[in-house]
Amino acid sequence: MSAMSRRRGRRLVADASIRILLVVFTCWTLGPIAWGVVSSLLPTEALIQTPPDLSPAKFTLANFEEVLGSGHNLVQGLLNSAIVATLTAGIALVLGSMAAYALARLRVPGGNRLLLIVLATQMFPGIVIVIPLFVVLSRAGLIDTYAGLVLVYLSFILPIVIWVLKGFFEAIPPQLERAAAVDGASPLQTFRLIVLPISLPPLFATAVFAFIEAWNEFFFAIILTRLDVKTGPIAIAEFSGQYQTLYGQMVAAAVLASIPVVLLAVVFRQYILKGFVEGAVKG
Amino acid sequence: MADRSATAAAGRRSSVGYAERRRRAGLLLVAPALVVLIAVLALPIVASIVLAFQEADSATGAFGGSWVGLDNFAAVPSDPAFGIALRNSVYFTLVEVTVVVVAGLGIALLLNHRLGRSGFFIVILLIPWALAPVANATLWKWIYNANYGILNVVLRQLGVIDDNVVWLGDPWLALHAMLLADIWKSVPFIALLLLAGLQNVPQILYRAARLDGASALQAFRHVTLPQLRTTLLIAVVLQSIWALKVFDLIYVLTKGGPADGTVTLNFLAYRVTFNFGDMGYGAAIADVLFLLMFGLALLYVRVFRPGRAAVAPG
Amino acid sequence: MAEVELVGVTKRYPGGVEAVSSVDLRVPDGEFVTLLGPSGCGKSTTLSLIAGLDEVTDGEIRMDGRAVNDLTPVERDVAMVFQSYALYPHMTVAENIGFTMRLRKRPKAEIRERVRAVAESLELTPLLDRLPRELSGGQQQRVALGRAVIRQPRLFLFDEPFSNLDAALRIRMRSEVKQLHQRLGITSIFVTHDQEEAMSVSDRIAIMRAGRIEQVGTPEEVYARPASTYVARFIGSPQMDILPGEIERDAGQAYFRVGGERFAIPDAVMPDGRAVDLGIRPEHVLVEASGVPATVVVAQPIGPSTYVTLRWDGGDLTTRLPGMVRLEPETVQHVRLQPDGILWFDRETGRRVEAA
Repeated sequence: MSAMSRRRGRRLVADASIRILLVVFTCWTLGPIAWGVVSSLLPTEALIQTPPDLSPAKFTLANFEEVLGSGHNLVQGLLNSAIVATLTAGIALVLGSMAAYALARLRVPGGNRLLLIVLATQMFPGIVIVIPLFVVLSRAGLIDTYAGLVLVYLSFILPIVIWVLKGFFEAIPPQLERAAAVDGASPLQTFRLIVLPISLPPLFATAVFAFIEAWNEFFFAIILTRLDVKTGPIAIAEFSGQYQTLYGQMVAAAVLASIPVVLLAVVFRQYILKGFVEGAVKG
Repeated sequence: MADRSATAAAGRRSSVGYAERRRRAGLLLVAPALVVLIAVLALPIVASIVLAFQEADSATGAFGGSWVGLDNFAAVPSDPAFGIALRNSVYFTLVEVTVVVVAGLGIALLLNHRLGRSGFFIVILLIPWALAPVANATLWKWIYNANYGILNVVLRQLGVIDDNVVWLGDPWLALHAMLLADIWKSVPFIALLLLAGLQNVPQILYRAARLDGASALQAFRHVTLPQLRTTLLIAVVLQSIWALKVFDLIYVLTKGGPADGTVTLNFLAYRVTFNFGDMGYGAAIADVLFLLMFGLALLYVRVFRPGRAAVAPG
Repeated sequence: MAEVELVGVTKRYPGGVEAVSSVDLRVPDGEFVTLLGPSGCGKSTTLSLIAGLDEVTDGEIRMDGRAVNDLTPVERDVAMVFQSYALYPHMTVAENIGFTMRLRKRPKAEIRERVRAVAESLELTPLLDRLPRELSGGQQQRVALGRAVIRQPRLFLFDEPFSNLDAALRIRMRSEVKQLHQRLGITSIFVTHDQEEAMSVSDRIAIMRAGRIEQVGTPEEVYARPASTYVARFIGSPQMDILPGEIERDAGQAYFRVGGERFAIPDAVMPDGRAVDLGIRPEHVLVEASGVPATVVVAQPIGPSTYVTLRWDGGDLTTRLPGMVRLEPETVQHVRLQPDGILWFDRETGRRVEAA
């Protein structure tokens, strides 16, 4: 064999192995999800057959109907999650972008040290702060309220928002802000009229990320809410606790609660990828 | 000419220069976020540390307890549950971080390859990442179901096992089942992180290596890995912290059982505080957990710091 | 219109580094002054200090006699054109130019009218609705000019505005800026590292070195009477030749000996006796029938003239010959120094020494 065709042969083998690995990777990643979705579309009787009855005729939306029905709190739970997540993302974005800009550009004394301390606090598990928070919230009458939960969520979402946006603001050419100053803009005007409008993609990405984190949160939700503000994850946990033998419904509830965030992540993936992953790489 | 007066008006007679204006604006912009974080983060952390030095339970309430100094911390080593939880936490974290980072790196390399460049793979990576941990736990609870779970069905069909295995019924099995569930969910983010790191490696280094006669493996060892140092460090630190923080999975799958086989430090702190009502002791455990995480982060930085990549920062 | 004065202006950073060291400069009303020097000499920092974008550590900046150290840029009534144009990417050309008026809350009609007038004067009218990223470098720079012009400020500042443009465009823009200055008469301070640029647009040039001003003068002054070897080498292209050598007298004739050869020097241009180096610009190095023999190393015809590098026992000399001249390498030519082009520099300090 000539050197050329030997090299080509080696390359074909390498390519084939890569393709196989990609297939394995896809199956590994999508497998559980696929099974989850399929399970949610089959009635429990079909699921408890051994092996499970996967005949096309059996596919049904009954699980979803049941789970959304008035007997359960899932709809209310999802609604609450939506409200809390939106409020949290909105407030985190407003407060976080302001703080991030100040730390990135406006030479706040002790700013960098402050940020590192705040990031260190991300290492605390929720259990560390939940008791004092519980006490304060109940004294303020904020248990089982949107305001209470949003405030608590800000404790771990705000630092990340600030960290990521700071990275973005630091990348804005300083000459742009100097030009604005020469034109007569105060620092606040520069922030509002120049910096923010050109930062829409990262702002968006951060909002989406904050929304997803707030939506998925469970620990604080379960401790700090009762009935009024019960969120989606709590409802799902109930399904796997109380109604756990209704397998199809249990999985259907999980699927339903996951659709919004998965959709968000996929639709806005360009923003998310550029924002977080690269932000983390730069450090 | 009209502009002259406009300038004076717009300038607003002030004896404060540009730099000072910016500093003041900075303080103003940082203040709201700072206030919120002090209220919901800083103060509770301090309160929690204080709580660890107190004897407080549901009877006394969190702020009504009596001061007992280091008693709570002293009780920690002699508590058998703590020993088990510590062992579980360390094992869980070590295994998860190793598997997740290695698998993540593998996937990142795959997706960085010419054949793996499709957006499709990015999309499927985002799905596990976006799932709520509770939803993930529910899914795996169903997969691990002893009677009807797909895992048993498949393994039986393949002839690997004869009878249904009660995955969540044996301490050792349950811990590993949890590991698998969390690894599956955690790999995507790390893979994406490492992929970004890979894409930041200057291509020209690979070209130079090839000209020097390096094989693919050598290029990986001498070009890729050094450039990825910082990103790998970040991946390891982040994943360690998340592994130690696992809660939703335990709550939904096993509630710590069987026989404390899946109790981690985080879950123990929760159980002690909420099921046993001993808030002081619970706070002590939580604070020990934090110290552990902080120490780990410092350790990693110390280990990885020497030997910055000679070329562009990672 | 404004007179700008820098009195002992210093910019010191924490850590002790002084980017600008005790600079004194007076710019009369309406003058176009250029700060010239290599990267890192402090010229851009000085400009920032004048603009009010950086804090002065020591010294005073005065405009029309009043100290303005504590005033913001807009209070000082300065406009600035940046190297990277710094146009607001999310605003159209019209909005970019009109931004400063919008900040002053001028009525929309007035803004529209003024923007239109400025755009017309800079031939930007067809581009008013475009975004910066749709424009070429030259167009963007004109928008940046427009943004500055619309202010009718007391002082114009230019921070290497043409460095990012290609050669032909750069020359065009220099001409435009000069015409603008002639038309508006606004005091202007221009920063560049390109000596040709400085020479072509300025009323006076301030050459800077390591945070200090080495010399201030008109283009003619800094060209013909540079204050030091630093200035002499910086101004003029190709560089002035500086020859280290010894003065000697022989039979009543003064010579400058460099290596194995010596150049005859008329008494009229002899320096005050110290240890001196001789400086001469290429156009004053004459190639004639008799003189110091030198070998042609390379000839570079550029069109209107030809630069020839000649090597002799004492070193290399560059000469500029008019027109396109063909000279074969390795041939021998004879070199004489034109007396009125000879400059003397103190060997130790580098400062120029007058003829005795």
